[in-house]
Amino acid sequence: MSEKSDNSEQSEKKKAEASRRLFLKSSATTLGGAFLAPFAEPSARGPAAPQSAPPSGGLDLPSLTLAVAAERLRTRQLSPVELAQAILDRIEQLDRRVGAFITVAPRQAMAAARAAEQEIAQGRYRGPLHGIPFGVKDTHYTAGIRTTAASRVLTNFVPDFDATVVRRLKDAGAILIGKTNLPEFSFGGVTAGTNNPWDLSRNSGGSSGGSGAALAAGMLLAATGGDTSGSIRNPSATCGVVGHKPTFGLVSRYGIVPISWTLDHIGPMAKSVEDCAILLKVLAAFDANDSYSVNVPIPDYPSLLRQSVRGLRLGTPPAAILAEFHPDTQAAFREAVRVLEGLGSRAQEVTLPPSFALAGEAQTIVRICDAAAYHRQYLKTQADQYGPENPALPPVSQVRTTVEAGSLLTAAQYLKAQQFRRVFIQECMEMYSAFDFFLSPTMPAPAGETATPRITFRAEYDLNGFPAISVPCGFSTSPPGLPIGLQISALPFRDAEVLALAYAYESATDWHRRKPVL
Amino acid sequence: MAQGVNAAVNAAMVRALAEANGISIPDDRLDIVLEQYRTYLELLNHLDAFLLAREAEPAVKFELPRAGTTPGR
Repeated sequence: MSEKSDNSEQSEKKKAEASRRLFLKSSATTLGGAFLAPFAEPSARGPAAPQSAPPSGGLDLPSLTLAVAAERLRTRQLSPVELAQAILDRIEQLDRRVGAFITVAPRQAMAAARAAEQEIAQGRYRGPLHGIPFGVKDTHYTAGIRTTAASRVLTNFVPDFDATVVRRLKDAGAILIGKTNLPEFSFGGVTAGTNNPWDLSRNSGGSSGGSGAALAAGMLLAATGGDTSGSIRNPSATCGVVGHKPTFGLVSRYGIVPISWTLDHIGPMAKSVEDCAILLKVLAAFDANDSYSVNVPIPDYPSLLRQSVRGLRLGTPPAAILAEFHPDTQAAFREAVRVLEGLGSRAQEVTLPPSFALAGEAQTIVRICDAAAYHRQYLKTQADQYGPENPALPPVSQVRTTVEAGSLLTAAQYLKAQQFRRVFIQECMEMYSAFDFFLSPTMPAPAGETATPRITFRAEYDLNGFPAISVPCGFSTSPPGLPIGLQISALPFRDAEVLALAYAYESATDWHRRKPVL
Repeated sequence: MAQGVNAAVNAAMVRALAEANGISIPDDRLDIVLEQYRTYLELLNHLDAFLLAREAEPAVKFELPRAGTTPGR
């Protein structure tokens, strides 16, 4: 935790309190005076915050959603400094037990929060991410803050520029709080060292496990993750938050330590579908530095959330495949389908195309070959340094074994998998012509439980690049209290529709409102 | 051993392949890498059993760099 225990903490807290009081004083003045003009109906927003009362009004700030916090920031009922400090306090209080962060950057965060506060007070509000604390997976390059990918290979790597997505979030006014934990180089579905806030004896899932756990524990209001084999959706489901894997090419991968150039997807993770939509609107953009970036119009995702689901056709997995999932996962999934049917949509079981059964194999070959090519630079010069960056973990590196073995595969074998991939995508496109969305459980089983279905509907969606979101859809009963996720997917570039259906489901249920007791 | 993978795929072959590729795998790691390599070969056997049209193209494309992009060096 590079900056986490610096000596300026008390000083930062005093500055935060002084800044908050000044901000409120300024807000009270502006709401009643010079800055009244932009607000059409001040009375509709409630009275200006009195100087003697805290604007948070006893709110538990870390538990706020991004959307709720954004509205309070916009209307100056909440100071970015106060919010950032509350998040840093929460991390200080909890992260020893959760282990969501590799690096926390309080000085940079508070400096950015003060700048945001000043801008908002001056009427230069940038939008709903202005003043919002966020974290990124520690694969994202961050200028001046080390980027380790949780590996000893990169333990001293301090980038001199921000990844495109980090830059876009900062440009939108968001406050970078820190870098979240992952398995070494994102390899694996378990994030060693990150405990699940719903049961600290269990893992958060992975590979974006730090982001998922931090959101569930109220240590962030927004985060990003990377998804190559399911690594946004897995920890989102496992930790009871929302994670969206966008259509491939929609969000830039530039400046992010890769697993696979043709499978990696970067996307938002948050506490609600609306929050993910707000984040995606900022994250999605053409980036000439990402060779697979696509230049398409970016919809206003938040404004498209409220859609009728009546008459929508929903595909569901074959019963024989679904039966291989954990019993509680099956039950939660079936109930989620019933909820959507109750909203007027129609569900139908789908026959999967033949290539679906082998998509996992092709995804593995593509992933391993891409990874071997990237890691060649380290295998040749730093092979002995592979292993988790966290000294508390066993110095065993599955990454090294994987990329050493992957280095032995031939270009012809790689292209064979890519040839298969194209056929698979075509068969998926044809399959989706029979319905509007395909639903599946996000994970085979809740955290730490075992189920091994032949098809998991995770890596397949990295191979085809289709958008897929995970939204909370229930909790296990045996063992009790572990989150379960519903995955909703659609054809490429129908991210807005995926978010809208997820929003409709979320609005009809309250799973996303439940919080772990920590 | 993964089913269907040629028995000739052994530690000596892994060492030779790695060295030909400019990578050195220490002796104490050869068996674990061999096991992983055989797993990949088995996956490829499964893929080979799925017949593709003769004209099927791979899902990778060549594209000239766009103006203003970072060359990556």
